[in-house]
Amino acid sequence: MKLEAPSSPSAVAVPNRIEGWAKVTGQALYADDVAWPNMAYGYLVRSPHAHARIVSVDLEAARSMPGVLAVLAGPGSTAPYGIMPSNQDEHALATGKVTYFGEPLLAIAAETLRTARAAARAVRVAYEPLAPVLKTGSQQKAAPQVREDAGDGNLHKAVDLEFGDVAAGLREAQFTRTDEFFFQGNNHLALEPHAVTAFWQPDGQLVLESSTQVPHYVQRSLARALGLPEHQIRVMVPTLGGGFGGKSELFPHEVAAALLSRSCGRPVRITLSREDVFYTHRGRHPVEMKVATGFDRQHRLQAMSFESRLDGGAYSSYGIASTYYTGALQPTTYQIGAYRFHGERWFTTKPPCGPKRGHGTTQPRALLEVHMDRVARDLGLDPIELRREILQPPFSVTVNQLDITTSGLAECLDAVERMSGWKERRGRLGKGRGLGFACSSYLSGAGLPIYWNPLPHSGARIAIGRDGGVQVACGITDIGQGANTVLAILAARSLGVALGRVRVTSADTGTTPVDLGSYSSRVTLMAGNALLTAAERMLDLLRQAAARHWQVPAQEIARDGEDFAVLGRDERAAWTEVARWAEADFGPLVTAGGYTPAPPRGRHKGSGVGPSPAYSFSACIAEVEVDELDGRLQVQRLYVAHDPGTPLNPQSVEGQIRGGVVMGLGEVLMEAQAFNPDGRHRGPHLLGYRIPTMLDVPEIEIAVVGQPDPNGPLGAKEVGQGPLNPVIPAVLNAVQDAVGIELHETPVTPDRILRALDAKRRRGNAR
Amino acid sequence: MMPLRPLSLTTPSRPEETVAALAAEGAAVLAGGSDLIPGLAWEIPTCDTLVSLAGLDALRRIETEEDGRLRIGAMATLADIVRHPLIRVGYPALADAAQAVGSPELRAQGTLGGNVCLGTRCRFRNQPPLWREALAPCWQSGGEVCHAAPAKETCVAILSGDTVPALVALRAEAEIWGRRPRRLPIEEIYTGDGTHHLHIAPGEFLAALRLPAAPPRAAFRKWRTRASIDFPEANAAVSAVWRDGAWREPVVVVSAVGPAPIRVQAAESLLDGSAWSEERILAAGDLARRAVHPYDNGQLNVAGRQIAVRGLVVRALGDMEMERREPVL
Amino acid sequence: MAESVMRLRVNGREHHLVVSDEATLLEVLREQLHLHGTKDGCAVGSCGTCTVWLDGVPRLSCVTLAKTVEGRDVVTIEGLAGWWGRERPGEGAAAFHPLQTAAVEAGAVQCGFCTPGMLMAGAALLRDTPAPGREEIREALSGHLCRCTGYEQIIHAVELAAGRMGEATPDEA
Repeated sequence: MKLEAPSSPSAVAVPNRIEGWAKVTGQALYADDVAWPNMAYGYLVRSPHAHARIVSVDLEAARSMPGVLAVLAGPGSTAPYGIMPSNQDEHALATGKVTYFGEPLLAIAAETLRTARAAARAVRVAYEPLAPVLKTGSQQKAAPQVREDAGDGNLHKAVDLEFGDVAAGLREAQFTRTDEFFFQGNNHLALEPHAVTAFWQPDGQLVLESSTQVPHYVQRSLARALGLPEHQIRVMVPTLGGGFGGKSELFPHEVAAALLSRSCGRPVRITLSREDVFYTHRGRHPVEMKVATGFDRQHRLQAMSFESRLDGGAYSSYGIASTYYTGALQPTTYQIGAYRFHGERWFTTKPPCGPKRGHGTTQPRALLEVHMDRVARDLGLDPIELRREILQPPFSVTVNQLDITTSGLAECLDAVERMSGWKERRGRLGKGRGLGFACSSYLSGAGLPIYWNPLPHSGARIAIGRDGGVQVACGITDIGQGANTVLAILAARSLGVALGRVRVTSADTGTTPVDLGSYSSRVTLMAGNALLTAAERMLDLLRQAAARHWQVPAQEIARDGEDFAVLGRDERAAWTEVARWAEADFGPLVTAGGYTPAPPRGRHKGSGVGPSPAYSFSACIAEVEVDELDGRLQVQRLYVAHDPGTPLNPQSVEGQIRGGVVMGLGEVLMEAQAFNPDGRHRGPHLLGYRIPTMLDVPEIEIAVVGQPDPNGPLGAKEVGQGPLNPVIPAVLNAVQDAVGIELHETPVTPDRILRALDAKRRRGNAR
Repeated sequence: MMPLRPLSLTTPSRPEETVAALAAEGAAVLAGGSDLIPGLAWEIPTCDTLVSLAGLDALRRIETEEDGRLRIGAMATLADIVRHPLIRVGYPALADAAQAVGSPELRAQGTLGGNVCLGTRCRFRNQPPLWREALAPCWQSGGEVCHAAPAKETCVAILSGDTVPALVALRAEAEIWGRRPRRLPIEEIYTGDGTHHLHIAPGEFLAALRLPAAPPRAAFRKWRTRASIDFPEANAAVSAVWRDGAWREPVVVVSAVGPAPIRVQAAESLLDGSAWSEERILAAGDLARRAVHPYDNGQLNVAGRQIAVRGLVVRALGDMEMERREPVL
Repeated sequence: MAESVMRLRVNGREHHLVVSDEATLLEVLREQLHLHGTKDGCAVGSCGTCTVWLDGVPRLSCVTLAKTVEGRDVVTIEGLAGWWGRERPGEGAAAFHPLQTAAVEAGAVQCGFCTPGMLMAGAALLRDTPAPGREEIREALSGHLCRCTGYEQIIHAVELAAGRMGEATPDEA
């Protein structure tokens, strides 16, 4: 099956977003919009130092201000918490010392936000500044300890993997090359800043409405942080204004809102400012990387050694997973004879880094694809041809023990090559213009949960009401990617009913079965499979009821549209009628399904990161023009191919591809979560941290390719993250093609291009 | 949403009331507000009274005076400038510069006067309050240090109005109202000190810009990361009169690299009295590059901003020479 | 803090509001009138999510002091369909402006946080320029950040709405 999507959205006939009408009329309520009766406003006092000892805190003046309801100092949480079971190192509010600029240490609740802010000005905190720690590895020299609870030195974690004999592979290679690269960190920049309303009710139940991608993890971590039984906490997610990984764990403002609510007996809202979001961060790690490869005479990739050093910021967050991910997915695209990976994550006094769209795979993919391009250049080969010979085939096992099922990678290469006119146009575009290629792959959900357990990764429940309506309940969060709509589509298709019958309830730990959350591109595959199981069970009940009613064997029950009928007989009944028969027979109609991925093949330490039920594949060709006078890197057109298995909702598939591609474009052209030497963010606002506007985005031509995957619901794989990854190296490679400068870091801003061109000119003049 | 700190707003309807209100301690001019309000949100300006010019209807008008000069009221919005037929036809470099400011919404709100008088910007000062809380106060904040240029004795924050170089190149005149209204060439309203960057005293305000009846030809260029929203990291405008087979009286002005616009006189000398060959244009660009010394107070790096100035001037000169050879109209 | 009563017409309805001098229009819309459709993405005029119409012109409510717009006419995303209904006398009330419908159909809506501001700017463009070209659309929406869509489907929604609005009024041509 070839699923060639048209490049113009107009030709796509699709089911629309089920919540679309609410979002276009202003009716959709986001976390900062939900108004609770008698609500108070919370505010966090944050550190104005990157690294300092807290000498004293005086809260009296603030506490005595009229309208102030509560002023709390740290730690707030009764036990440290953290998303990774092995790294429980966070508290709601800093005590003892602060370890990044903007770290919260006090929480205030007041009648109004004005009063809360005034109270924040009235608290007195004395700090003893310490030297900031901004570099990693040996560049740290005699740096002070960032985390005093984390052993000696600032190395958070070092990991090593080796498959086969890499040293021998490199030694015996016909051709070797080494490249280094620094990938700058960046922020998710969801348009909606995080917000939460917490109400610690008088009956002891704690209810949160929070902008989170992971209500289950928030409930779980909060229970630990507050010493409460999990069932006393209910986490709900209102309409969520984008996540991209930035709302994927418990945050200080969520804990603080709960504590403030307990103190003042009222619901408390905390909304982060845009500045706060940059301090809360958990964005893409800055990574220094080095790759060495060895090729044999036939240009087969004999050996690869990959090293990465992550600048983690002040806390662990997802860091261990992030570190492993920088070495996990290189082999999913290329057959590698022997593969070695060394990864390190370092603590620094910066806002903690975490997962962002492409989690940990984006940075190494940038270097790997730039490296492959340079290898091809050195060998005098077409960069696409070089890759074509070594692609990891479908239904195969990678060198690092990952099971690949379907792969549309070869088709992705073909598609972008054809769409861009690569063969005819490359090298013939004229001065300052160039084409660059890259490809990549990504997970459709992680094979293992973040905390070990034998339970389903996703659960879904279907109920059919007496009204004939289909109620789907699942713990997933629609972060804007269209998850609720996909579930509605799957429910409608699997039950054979109109989309309008289906109502989806999600993201509420109090009413929906657990789904681990909207991260690692897992929702469509995992929740979709869980839902299909529930739907099969439901259909079975309905068939049984119909068979009993008509007194025929169940296998003679057929469907005609929504109706049920008997094969070869003139009997038929409407959906709702059959549902009522079934309710009469079995009681209220409820079925459930769960999904747990097959256990991963690898048994080595670190084998938990990388396995997935299915991998998506992508390729990109960037067409650029570099203006040598003003340094502007004009990306004129992007050609993108992606293999998402079966595209369940073509409109959403297209939207996810475009959104991911443009996010990648922002990362390579302009985005940087960068810091001054004193640890201050260079510009924690949208003029200092710039993302592309409509005028900065070129035409993007898209091909959707691939086969239905046996592990995906109706054959679907992921699309939310993968298409971002190839864009960055494709642009970097195109710049080299256009003006012959090798770039060694992101982002490629016009000032950097001018400097590089100037240096190149001077080298030229010197010769 | 974080509310602004308390302040009072007054909207006089007569110039003398405006002058009186502005003479008071802690008073500041509110024009369009598209830059002042964000500043207040970050608690940067220290004013406690805003004196709005919106009550002075005359300040919104764009009209030709008896001597043929074009008089643009300071409260004309940048969007007004962009779409005004007399400006589009007679002073297109100004329309281009106004179009380069911010976004459509910001141009609908921001005024020409506001853009000319725009507070200087610096990445060590134009930051939210927490960012500045534990930072030693800089010259502009009443302290004695410049974080961008520690060796400097004054503030080197960036003059960030895009219309400024265009107005300089067009030889505009500023009309200041106060107890003694006065007019002066626009260049002369900039002090060169980022702290008090305008020669406009308390009790005075910019009321209008006046453009010559027969303006020179001019061109404007802007350099920044994105094609919208961003302030300039450097900008430039050039102008000259084509007479008797040669360019005469050229003006080359570079801005957004310091607290005041910079006239590149060496380039002007080079360009005076000839047609502009490619070599001459490139040489003028090199002179412009050498004439500016940006500090590390913008979003993009110093070396890049300096090199970019060359490209801006070359492009602007090229625009003029090309149009002379093949007029658009 | 100087507080006083001011008049403001919002979505066709006259309000008398007690407002302090420093209150922004965004604050008044969200906190006093509970019109939460207008969003607060950055608070300093850099993202476009707070865009409303002021006397028909798209403006950033986060950098506009409410007092400076006393007595004027404001339309928010909640009032866009109503405005459209009033624009076409005899057609009856409208649940959606054509751009709202087109945005849903074209896939222009993902997380939806930029959507209200984007649609207010887009609807103003369609009112003033009935058949905008692609470049005009890009220019008109260039102050609006979107992180989800990559923008293309938003541009397409405006084109789609323009096409339909053109078809709907052939008699007036």
